[in-house]
Amino acid sequence: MGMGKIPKSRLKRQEQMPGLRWALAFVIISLFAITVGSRSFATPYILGMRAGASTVAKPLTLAGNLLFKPLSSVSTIAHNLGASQTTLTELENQNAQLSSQLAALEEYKLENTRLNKLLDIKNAYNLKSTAARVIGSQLDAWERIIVIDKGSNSGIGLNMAVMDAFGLMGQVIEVGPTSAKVRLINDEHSGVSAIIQSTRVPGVVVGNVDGSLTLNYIPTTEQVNEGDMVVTSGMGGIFPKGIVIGRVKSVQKDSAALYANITVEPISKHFNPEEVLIITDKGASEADVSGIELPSGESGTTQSNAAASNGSAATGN
Amino acid sequence: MTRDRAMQRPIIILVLICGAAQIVCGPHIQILEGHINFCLILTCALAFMTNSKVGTICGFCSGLFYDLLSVAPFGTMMLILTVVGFCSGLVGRNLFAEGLSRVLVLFVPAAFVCELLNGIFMLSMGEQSGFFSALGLRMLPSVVLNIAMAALVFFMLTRVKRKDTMALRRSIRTIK
Repeated sequence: MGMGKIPKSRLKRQEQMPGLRWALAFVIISLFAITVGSRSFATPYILGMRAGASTVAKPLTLAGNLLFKPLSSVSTIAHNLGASQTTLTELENQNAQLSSQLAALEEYKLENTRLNKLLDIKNAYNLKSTAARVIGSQLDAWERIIVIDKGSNSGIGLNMAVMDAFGLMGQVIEVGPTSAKVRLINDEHSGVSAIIQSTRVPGVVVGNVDGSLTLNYIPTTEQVNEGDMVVTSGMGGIFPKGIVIGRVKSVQKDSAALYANITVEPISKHFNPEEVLIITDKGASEADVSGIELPSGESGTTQSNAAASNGSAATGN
Repeated sequence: MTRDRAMQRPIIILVLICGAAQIVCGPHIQILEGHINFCLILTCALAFMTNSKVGTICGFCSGLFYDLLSVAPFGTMMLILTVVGFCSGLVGRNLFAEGLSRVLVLFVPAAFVCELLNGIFMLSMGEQSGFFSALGLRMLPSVVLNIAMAALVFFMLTRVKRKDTMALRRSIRTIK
């Protein structure tokens, strides 16, 4: 066998399996990409590449949204047409109830503003937001994300909270110059620090495979009722405090378990909005409030709140 | 040479259509939680039309394209489509000549393996859902959608290929 000759067996293999070398090389590259991609130092590069790809793909994403919008509208109309008389009566009653509650809340708001001024406390709910249009949704079966038409050029940044007209929607996870991707709260990778509004019991709301929400880490000893409102706790520093997430749909308590199994019905019914609000500035945070001198006897509570807030910064919101 | 040129045109058109369809239609067509993977359809189509080398290269490139557009762990689809492209090319070299049904019969396991590998990978990367709920809600609906769309794409490809072959035969006869 001469130096320049290729062995017959190798030639035969190359003939039988063309591209074997390419396949091996690409498998090695892919494995390297998976390994390196999961390391924190590579994240900015991957996010940068994905942001570039999103920007390039934006015109097509917009076209897809425009193309499928009429179909979505038709399905919404068909759904609304199916509403029964009972549903309409229920909604009318609910509307009347909410109108009276709104009047009462206006009074509370004015009183709250007066008291805040007296104590010189900054308003923790003074949120600044930017409206954006939803131009796309998730590409694969394993993620629940939406694409919005505003990015870093409009002041959108990573981890900003996103709301719709009803309540909390999700969190910005990728930002390009003119578009951004938002992970919805019903995605399985999502976790939001929350409290039950009436009892102030803290927990974590996570998404499920079927798109529902579960409130975790609520001890079985705590009183939780169906219909209780679940709002963001503000811990972790990503989601502002007091944004509505949903209502408790069902509570299952096992006497042997430490935590109750609580299902939450999201307030944003279909997670398919056309416009969203991105909270670009959360106003005064809990840390600001903790710096204010309160009347004696309340300082301990304020400090513990601040500690809880700092301690929960690592929570995977 | 003429044959290669005749094949180039449908391949380029197919790549462009599948790339655009992945962005335009991919997110909007779904059953339960399942979505269409046009990159998989493209990879298998090219592997079945040509050989495992083209299937491998196309699998890698379309996987990279998919990974750049999605938010899933980077590199997953690159790896899966490279393997699927290579294996599809080995098993089904020049398969379009044998008819649509034969192509679809080989695409079904390819689609299932792709979704299964992706599912196993996602679950091993910390996905919270159980295997069977993911299988029922995500993997199988995706497989069904992929097969349905692939049937449409492959049907059009067989038509285009038939036309090209006839044109090629005609031109050969004219030269003779």
